Amino acid sequence: MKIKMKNDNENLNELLKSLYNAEQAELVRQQIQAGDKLFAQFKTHQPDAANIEAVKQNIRDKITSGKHTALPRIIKFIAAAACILIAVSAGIMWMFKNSPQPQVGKIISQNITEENWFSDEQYTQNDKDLAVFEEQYRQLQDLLLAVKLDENGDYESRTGSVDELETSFIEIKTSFWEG
Amino acid sequence: MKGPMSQDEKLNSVIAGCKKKQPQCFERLVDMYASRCYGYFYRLSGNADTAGDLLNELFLKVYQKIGSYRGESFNGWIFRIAANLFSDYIRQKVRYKKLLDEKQAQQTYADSDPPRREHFAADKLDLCLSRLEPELAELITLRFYSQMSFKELAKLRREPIGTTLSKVHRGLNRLRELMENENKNEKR
Repeated sequence: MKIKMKNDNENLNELLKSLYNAEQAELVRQQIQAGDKLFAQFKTHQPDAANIEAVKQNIRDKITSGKHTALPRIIKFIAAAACILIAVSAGIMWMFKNSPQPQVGKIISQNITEENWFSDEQYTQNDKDLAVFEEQYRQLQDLLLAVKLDENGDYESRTGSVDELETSFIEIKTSFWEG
Repeated sequence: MKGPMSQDEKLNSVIAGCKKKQPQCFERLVDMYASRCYGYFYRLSGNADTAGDLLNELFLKVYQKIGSYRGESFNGWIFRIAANLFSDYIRQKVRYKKLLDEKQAQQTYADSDPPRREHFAADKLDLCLSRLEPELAELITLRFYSQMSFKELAKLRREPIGTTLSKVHRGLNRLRELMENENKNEKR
């Protein structure tokens, strides 16, 4: 087989000129061409027909065995995936069965640290309403305490204050839960 | 009516068939590339059996990896696999030789037989290539058989294009000198 040097993707002259001056580039080009001719002068070794046939036969065998092994491979893959899925599901179910029932209040309180629970600094803009409610609640508590201690004197004014207090409590409670 | 297919179109159609694992397309690919790849292996190994084995391995690799071919230069792609295979072969040979040397060193008697030549020069070019630095011999052989451009060679070797060009230039010059010396020796 005669091999032609056909490096389509390059312009050797341009490449050489970018690396050497014009004179050097020409010299290097000639030397490379002379070297290439040396290779071309000698006959390229050929694989024998049996060798080529063996290569082709190997590929044919690979293709045939690939087709035969594809289905069992898919089945094995699906079976393995199903086993993993079953094992994971069983594991999750076992975990749920054996874990103690969560106590919501406890879990929530565990998630809030002590500093956060009492710190006014943690209030954001959206929590201002809550602060107002808390302040009102505190005032009402004071009022209730005063009523209980009979600070206002007579029975009538005392019962009126209690009613008023209760109404306020209900209002706050309703507003609070309505957000 | 469609005109005759260009070489590139033929190659692309064969590659598309190979990706679909069509045996006749692989056979065509073997017909298209076997000579050049065998020549590359033969020139570097200097042994027909080794070249045949490497050729077989090469096409099995091509069969396995054809799915990962993304439309770059096919010459570059197939000869990159060939070059890697040859490097593996050399590494394996070096390991084997090391083991053999260690075993021989353990022997109490001196082996009187001269060491067998590993490289059987089929012609003058083979002989001179075997005397060249292995890296340069491999590079100029790869360039000739793969027909890759300097740009592709530089990319394959992960080095600047100027370095590749300079190595090819040096290798070919040295090869020419060796051939001239050989010619002079023949005349004497």
